[in-house]
Amino acid sequence: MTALSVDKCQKATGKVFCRDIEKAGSGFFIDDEGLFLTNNHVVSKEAVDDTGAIRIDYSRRIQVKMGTKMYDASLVINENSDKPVVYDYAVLRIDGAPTNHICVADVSQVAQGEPVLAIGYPSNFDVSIVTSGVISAIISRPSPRNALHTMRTFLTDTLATYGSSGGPLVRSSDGEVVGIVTMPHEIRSTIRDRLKKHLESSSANVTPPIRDLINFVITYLQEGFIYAISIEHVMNDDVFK
Amino acid sequence: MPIVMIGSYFFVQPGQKCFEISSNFTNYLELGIQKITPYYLEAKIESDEHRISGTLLDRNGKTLCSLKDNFIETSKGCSKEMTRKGYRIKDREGNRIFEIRVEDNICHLEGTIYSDSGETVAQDTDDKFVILKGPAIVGKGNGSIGLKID
Repeated sequence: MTALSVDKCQKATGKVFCRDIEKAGSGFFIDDEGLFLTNNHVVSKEAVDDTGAIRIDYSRRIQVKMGTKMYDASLVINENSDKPVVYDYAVLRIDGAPTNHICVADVSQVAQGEPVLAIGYPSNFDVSIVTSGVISAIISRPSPRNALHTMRTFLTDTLATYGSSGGPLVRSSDGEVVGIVTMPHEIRSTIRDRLKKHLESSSANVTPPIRDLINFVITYLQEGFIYAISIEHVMNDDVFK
Repeated sequence: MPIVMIGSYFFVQPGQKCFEISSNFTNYLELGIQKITPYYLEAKIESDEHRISGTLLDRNGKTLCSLKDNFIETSKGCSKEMTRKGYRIKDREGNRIFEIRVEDNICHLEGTIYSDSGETVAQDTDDKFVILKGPAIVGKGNGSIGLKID
């Protein structure tokens, strides 16, 4: 992939803000008409009620920063479909933004070991971060929101962390998007959050060596393999038919 | 004369993904006949998923919705509630009509399947999903059928 192609992918990638639900992530344009993809969990909050039903509340103010400019985004949703929730994607429309976009790959051609790049806005970075790796495995894993469904997922050693969610995983050979970067392994995230809470709530009682050890584990848990949901799940949405 | 069958395995082995039908385990269930009976339910294992498709009617025999691989295809006032282990289909009044729940690879069916005359075709009673009315097929594979109920 040439520097020019990387630059094109970076220009099509933006930082997503949902301040009303205190969420942020990344996303990218997939056409010149303003259609923009990100993860569903980036733009929504989930709750489970007493009956076990999953309730999804979407952000009422989604904004996307492209370069230095901020744009308002709206959800493109078929209210009868829960596919975006199951497969963890959201389709947004952004009007008036630059027209750079990333072409969608034929994922049936993606092979294990193929070099890929992850692009996004992790942590508090205001510039897009590009990391590289390979497709470590192509797996089928249960949807974190609904175990009934399985998702075709690319496992990659590309570096990503909080805020990378929703960004594109592009094939290095041609710059086409094969997947949407999602959170690191859920269990790892849960352990990390628990350790952080423990450290915050009992910092006075934790001796410095233990605090250093916990901080090391927290840092370690941010790294490792990440998942990218295959773009085919998004392309099967009614919006694209 | 009603026939009671329990503890049978149709085209599945213990531990494999399956559907539980009145304490029997099967890889396939068909209630009604597609495009012939107004109601229709097909439960199958495909792409390593438990998949339900068909047309569900309410207790008055009116079409409620059609499902395709667990997703609502057309809705006439029904709603779908997702749970961690499956989902519920509710009628216009919010009453649960049908629910599926997957635990340890076993898919449990709950609720009531109605015919167009409002008759009960199948329902869960005492935690068992019982087929009360044919036509139905339980189990399918290698060109053969496990059990056919006329």
